Amino acid sequence: MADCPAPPANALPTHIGSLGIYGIGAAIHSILNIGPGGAAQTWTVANAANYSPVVIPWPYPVARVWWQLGTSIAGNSDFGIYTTGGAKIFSTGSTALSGSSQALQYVSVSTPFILSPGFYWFAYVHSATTASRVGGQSLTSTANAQLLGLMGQTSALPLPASATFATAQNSVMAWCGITRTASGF
Amino acid sequence: MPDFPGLSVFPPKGVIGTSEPAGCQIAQTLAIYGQTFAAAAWPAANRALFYAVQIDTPITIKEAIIKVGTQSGNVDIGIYDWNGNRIVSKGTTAVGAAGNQTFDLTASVTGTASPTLEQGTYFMAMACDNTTATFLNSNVFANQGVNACHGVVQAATSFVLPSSVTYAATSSLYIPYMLFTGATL
Repeated sequence: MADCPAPPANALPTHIGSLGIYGIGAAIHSILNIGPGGAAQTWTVANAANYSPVVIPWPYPVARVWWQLGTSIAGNSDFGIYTTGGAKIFSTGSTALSGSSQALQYVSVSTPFILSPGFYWFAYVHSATTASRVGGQSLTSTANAQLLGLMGQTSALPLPASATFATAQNSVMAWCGITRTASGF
Repeated sequence: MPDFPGLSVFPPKGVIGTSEPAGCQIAQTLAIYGQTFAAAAWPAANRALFYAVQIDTPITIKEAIIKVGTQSGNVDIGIYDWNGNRIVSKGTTAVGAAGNQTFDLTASVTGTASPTLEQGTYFMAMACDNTTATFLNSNVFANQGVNACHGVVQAATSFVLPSSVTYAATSSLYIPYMLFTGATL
């Protein structure tokens, strides 16, 4: 007999983010006693991606993806969704940052899709180590990034079709993720 | 393989609120980061703030409660649907003396008294007509982008809470403590 059926899409969270409850948020606070993040950060290694683990508990319709901007709006970022095996499901491609300081930048998905319940990687990469480009959370060290389960890959802008997981090079993780909303927020 | 059970990792309790992780996106992140509430001034006169909550199990709302720090002017609280239509609001109410302030939503309301919220996403709403009044609040997030990715939106010039609103991206960090319940507190 099946468990309780998944809720309808209109009863799902509006957003699922890398640093929230379905990502590494609880672990960040438990282990590092820091958070919840959102301050402007410096991406510590240009063009090196971080892959952050996330769980999607129900079928989730993806209409847009997003990342949080820092206070310096310049350079390019790429956000992607990968399977646990490293196959890319979706990515924005290298995208110029634009928008208001510390707001969310959205990229619409040309063909909305549904993520099946399961475990995924949210990948984020930025083009420069210029200060304050990224809205997110400092993990204070790459050792902490590793402790939180993050993986990394150098020379990953744009994000590759298949991830080659290696030790995380960035001690920062961006607030980034997916949303079922096609507009607003 | 059976479906993942239910909607939230937090089981429903028969209440919804900005500190109740069952269904309230922002409360979930506040909970995992161990953040607390303290009195702070309403951010802008006549601004209304809206906080997304996902309802998995139908709940009937009869009363709401906030906590006043500094008494000044008037406040309104209510619940809106996904499209910005008011389901219920109390109407303009003098901010009470410091301490708990309850709102009877079974009578003398605008909209549907004692509404039953079916499965879906709704918004808990609060508005105040001045910036002198203070309420129990958590503005722990560093910036409005983090609020936005937790389903927080706002509307200007919305005191008294209107029959319908056009949700706008939030510019506020404010997360007032609000609790809506089917009980009489």
